[in-house]
Amino acid sequence: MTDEHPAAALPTGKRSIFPVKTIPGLSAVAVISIAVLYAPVFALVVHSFHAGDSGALWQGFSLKWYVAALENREVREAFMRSLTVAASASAIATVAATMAAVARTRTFPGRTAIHLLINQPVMMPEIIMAAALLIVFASIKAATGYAGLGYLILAHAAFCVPVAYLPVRARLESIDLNLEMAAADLYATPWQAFRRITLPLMAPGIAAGAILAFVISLDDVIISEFVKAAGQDTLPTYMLGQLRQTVTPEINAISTALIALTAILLCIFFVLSPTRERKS
Amino acid sequence: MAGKQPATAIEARGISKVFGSGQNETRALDDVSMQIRPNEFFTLLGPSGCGKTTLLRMVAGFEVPNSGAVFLGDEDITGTPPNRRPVNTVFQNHALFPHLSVARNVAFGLEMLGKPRKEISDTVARMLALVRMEQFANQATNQISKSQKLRVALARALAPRPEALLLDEPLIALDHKLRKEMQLELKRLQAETGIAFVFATQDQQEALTMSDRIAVMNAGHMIQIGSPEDIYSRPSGRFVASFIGESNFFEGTVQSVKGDVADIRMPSGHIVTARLGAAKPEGSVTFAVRPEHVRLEQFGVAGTMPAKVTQAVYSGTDTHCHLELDGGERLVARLQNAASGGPAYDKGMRAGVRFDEGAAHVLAD
Repeated sequence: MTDEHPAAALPTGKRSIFPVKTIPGLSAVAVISIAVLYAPVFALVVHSFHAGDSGALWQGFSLKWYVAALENREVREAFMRSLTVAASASAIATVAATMAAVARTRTFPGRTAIHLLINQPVMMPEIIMAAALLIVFASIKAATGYAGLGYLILAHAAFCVPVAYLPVRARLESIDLNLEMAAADLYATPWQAFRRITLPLMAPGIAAGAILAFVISLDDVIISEFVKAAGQDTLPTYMLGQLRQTVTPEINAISTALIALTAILLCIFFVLSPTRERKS
Repeated sequence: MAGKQPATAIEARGISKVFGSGQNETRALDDVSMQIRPNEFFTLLGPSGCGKTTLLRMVAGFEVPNSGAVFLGDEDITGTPPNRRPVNTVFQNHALFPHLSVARNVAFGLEMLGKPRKEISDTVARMLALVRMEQFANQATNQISKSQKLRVALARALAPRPEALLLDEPLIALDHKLRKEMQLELKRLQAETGIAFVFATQDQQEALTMSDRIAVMNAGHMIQIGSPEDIYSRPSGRFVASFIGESNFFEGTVQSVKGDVADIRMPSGHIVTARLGAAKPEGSVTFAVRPEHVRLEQFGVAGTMPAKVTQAVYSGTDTHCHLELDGGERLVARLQNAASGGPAYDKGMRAGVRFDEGAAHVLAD
């Protein structure tokens, strides 16, 4: 209406004078990056449906490598072992991570220390972690004689704690501390306040942490390779062993199945992810 | 509940609280005392950071005083955890449990007290009816409006029938119109339930319209406790006089004392008769006059103080006339606007100033 309103002086329409959201060329770069990122995966998936023996010439579509993989007893065993280890390790890691996150946001002394100590292993080279675990497990084995799957589970649980910790903590920090105070004000004991208010509100974060830990455990090679005893191949270490000999398209089929499983789990993780539902 | 009713619902005795230590030490409360009667609407009024929230938290059990004690009736509850105090809080942000429905929120306190299921559902229905939220019983708490959230928070806190309800600036997030509406609503709830309400606010108008008694706080000190009328017309000191409503302050020397009034000579030479209240009637004193008790008349009328209008600010119902007395003192007069015609006084005009009978009040500090 009057010149006092700078907004009224702007050209009509939604376009602004300085469009920060549409820097030219940015979307092209993004498309190229994604293409480069996914091209090898795409090649792998295509080859898993290849009717021929080698990657050289396309000889038609077939599911025969999937059938071959399913009929391979070693593959089936390795897959079941992977699932067992991932399920147990992610369960242990999630419980530990949840307790650490609660301690981190609810107690005052040592908050930063807890945070740093939990996150440190993420930065540590995996090979060092593997070597360290090997030393510990070797001495336990020498003392007890136990040689079961427990070592693999514990090793996976160890590196899954920081992974599970992140989404749990993010979720917990979005929970208003006043809610626990309100519960206490309404006659809830500290345990009741945790059980009835905090825990249900944390649940999506806990589930997200568990899924992430499961996926990380499922995909692990280095630590598993070090820690596993003879005949304790997980799916990734089995694949590594196979790749050392001859590359068969069977590996492509297994890889594709693993990618599909991981992708599904990660989709669930993103749906549960705390950052997506930060309201008011 | 039957039988003897203690004289006070809640009492705070000589409460002091220090936060931090060393350089960062802040004294949130300094020797604060108050007695809240059963069935009373009691308001803690003060600017933000005056300690009213800390005091409420102490009554609720979320803070422990460094010294002093909190009593519920005759019982010392200073060290009792919040979940064992029959006192409930309405939080500033309402703190409704987001994963529970409206009805489950209201039921929470009763469930924690282990009440039988039948009693819980009856009480929840009654409470929702009390705050007029019956039709929202099964809604999620993020599907209702701000004022509805406040109603649910009230129902939730009232459901266990506490000895006192603490309200920590619950109206602060509401816009003006809803605020007025909820003020009446709170007043009605207090009257209907007969529970003592302890209401913290920094809005003096809110405090004046809602309270049976007001406790004015500033910088961790309890400044004055009294009825709204006491606080407004007999402020104990400069802080209360300027925080609650507006005041003109004048210096002067006591000339003579007659009962509870004194003649005070202003530096300009005018003599003003002022109420003494609790103030010491000697030497130089400060007295306050509310702007609405200042009258303007024609310049030169007998018994008026000659003055000049320095500014006239129109504000709808009335006009604020800024004046300078010939002796140099400045003051503001609030003049109600007439139904027709422009403002009677304008910048630069001369006028005679007179205070209403009993308008001047000597302050204790």
